[in-house]
Amino acid sequence: MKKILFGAITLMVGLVVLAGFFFQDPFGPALTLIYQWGLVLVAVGGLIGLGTLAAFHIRNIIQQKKGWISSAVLLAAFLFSLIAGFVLTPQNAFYRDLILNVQVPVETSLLAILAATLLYASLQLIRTRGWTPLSIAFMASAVFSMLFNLGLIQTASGTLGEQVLMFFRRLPLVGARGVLIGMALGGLVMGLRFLLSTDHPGGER
Amino acid sequence: MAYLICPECGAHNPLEEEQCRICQASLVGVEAVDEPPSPEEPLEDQNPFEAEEHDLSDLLQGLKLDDDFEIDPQGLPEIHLDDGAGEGEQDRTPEWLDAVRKRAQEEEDSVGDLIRRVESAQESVASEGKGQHNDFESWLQKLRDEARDKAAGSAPKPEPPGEPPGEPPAGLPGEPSAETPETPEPVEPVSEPEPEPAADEPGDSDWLTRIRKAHGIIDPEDGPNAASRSLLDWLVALEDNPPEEEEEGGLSDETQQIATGFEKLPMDITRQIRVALEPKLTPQALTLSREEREQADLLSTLIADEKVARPIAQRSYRVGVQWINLLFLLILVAGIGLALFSGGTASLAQPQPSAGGTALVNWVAGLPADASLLLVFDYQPAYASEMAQVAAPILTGLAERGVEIEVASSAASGPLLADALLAGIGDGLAYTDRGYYPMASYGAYGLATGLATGETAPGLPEPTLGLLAGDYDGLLILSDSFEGAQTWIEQLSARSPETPLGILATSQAAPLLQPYFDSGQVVGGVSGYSDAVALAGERGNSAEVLPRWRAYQVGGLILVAALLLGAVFTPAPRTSPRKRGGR
Repeated sequence: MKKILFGAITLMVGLVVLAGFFFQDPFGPALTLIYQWGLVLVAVGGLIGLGTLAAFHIRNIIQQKKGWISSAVLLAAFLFSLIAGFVLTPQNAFYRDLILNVQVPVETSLLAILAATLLYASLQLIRTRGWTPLSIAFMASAVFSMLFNLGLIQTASGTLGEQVLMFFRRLPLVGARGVLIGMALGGLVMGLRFLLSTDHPGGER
Repeated sequence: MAYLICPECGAHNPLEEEQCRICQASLVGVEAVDEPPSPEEPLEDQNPFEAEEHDLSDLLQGLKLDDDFEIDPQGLPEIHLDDGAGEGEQDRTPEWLDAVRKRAQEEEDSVGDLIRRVESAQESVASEGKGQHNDFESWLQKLRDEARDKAAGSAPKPEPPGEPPGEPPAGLPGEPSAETPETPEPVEPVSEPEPEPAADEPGDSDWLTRIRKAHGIIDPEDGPNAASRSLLDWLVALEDNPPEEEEEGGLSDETQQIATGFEKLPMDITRQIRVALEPKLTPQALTLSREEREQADLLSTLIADEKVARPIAQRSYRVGVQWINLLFLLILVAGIGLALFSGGTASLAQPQPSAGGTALVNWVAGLPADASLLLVFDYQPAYASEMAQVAAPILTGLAERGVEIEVASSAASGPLLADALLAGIGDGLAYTDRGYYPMASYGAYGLATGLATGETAPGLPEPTLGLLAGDYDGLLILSDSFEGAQTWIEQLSARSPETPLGILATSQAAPLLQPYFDSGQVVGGVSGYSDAVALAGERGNSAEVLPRWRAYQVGGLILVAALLLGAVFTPAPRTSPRKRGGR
């Protein structure tokens, strides 16, 4: 019964939104209402996630589980940012520098680690698969894309070299278009599956 | 030693007693009963039956052999304990019979073991001859007559007129009346096949059989064993669940009759019957749904998986690999550091501006002075440095044009990043913050359709900042990924194609965003350090971006070299699996 009820609600909302895309005038107020409710649900979901995360780390601290010191640091940073944001507001220059001067270096370091990890994974591909057509194509595309992106190879305008260079530069775009078409088709199919209740994102069966 | 059996409660009383010591019922007229021989005495000496009853030896032998649960189908004679039943009582169902039926329904094979023994004995006797069978029947008939005579002589309630002797008396406690006959519950017959009744067997005189046949409870084809089975079922019910009337001393006449007959049996037989009637514990059938079974399986799998002992793998690195990693790290850091802090304006190569970047610069230059523009911040803080260089040429042009700027963010840190970025443009670019929209698709759809300014349902509050709304001369999307920019481009180009869109993106997002420029869905786009350096060079203020561009090139070259060297010198994969347990 619950499954049928949720499926019916999902189907009804999805059809209303879809109809509103084509017939905006009659369905405009309903769409506005649905979007407002959706935003409220997103906000409530965020609060629930926040509370769950905080409760998890508070339990870690109380029970002194492994890594409880990290939980304490996390909670302290969270409370400090929250209180500072309420008191100073995000428009405050001190608050902005306080957040960005921590967040930017941390996230940039993660990107550097990601670059090293991708390099290591590429080498692992060669190590495990050996020199196969797939691995050779992968390595060649990676090396040439990086070289082209660095701007190290330049040609004079109107020459044959420029045409060849443009061909290799456009080559990734061909794959990109294929990826775009695949993503669009996948999104369409997934949307229909959700709309027809074939899939249940919430895990309900 | 002889004693008196109370006709009311069945208690044993001395011969001199005139009233029962238990229920105070009158014992006048009750015949004395001899005590059965003790088990210690030889069986031949304590046999209370006459010579004609010596055919019981086969039955006893069969029951003894059955102790080992090896039933000989040619073993023992049939125990046929029947009793008379009144024709007028056929509509009534005794309470003990209901108990038997209930037990037979609840337990599929409650007395099957004993019945099998009896049937085995019956088949054995049938094979040995008719005369011996008649002798056994005579013994049983004597038992019945004896019990009937006692019950008739001491029963406090007179039998109804017209009721033949030997039939069960009316007015049993809890017995349904003839006017309101209780619907009999069907009794599941024992699964063992019944032998065909012999012609000389007194099956038709069995009142239990006749009652049950009249009620349609048993099939007439069940044979004469049905009555004996009912009796045995009743014994089982008595053993396991004695009725309340019996506990209170209110025994029915049938119960007394059968109990008297049962007590008269030799101790060995009663003992074996009691052993056979021992309640057997049968596990309750557990019914589970498919979902419950799946959850139980999952839980047991998880428990088993958690209990599995897993060795803690100790990762070991070869010394040579560690030195190579350290060398690569040193080269990377040193190269990028030198490129950043060496100073000067030299670079490995000066890039040319892309067509998309040039088109976007020209579009900004063509904006009217009173134009309004919306900047959408959709990138993470990790890309703040690159995005600052990418957006600088365009934002500088907007500042020069004096365009009115509003800012909306679809990334959590968007407002902070917008504040930091716009504050560094010239003397600070003035803007209006529209806030953070957690769902980019909502913001783009609301902006494209203008739903946020439309009417809402009557009686509901007006939407405020739920959906992005506004009328702009153009949008600039600052994004670090293809997906973030895709949402805005597709929503706006589909619902509001007249609104010009520009893209400011990182290097990683540029290849997938390029088709939007080629298709004309966006007026132009600046992506990555390459375009930023090229556009800054055209404007003549590339001093700030050149060191970064140089470091970007050096770092890229080191990665390419590491990739090639690692691929060339990587160890070859093992072609055959290593044998287990040996070298």
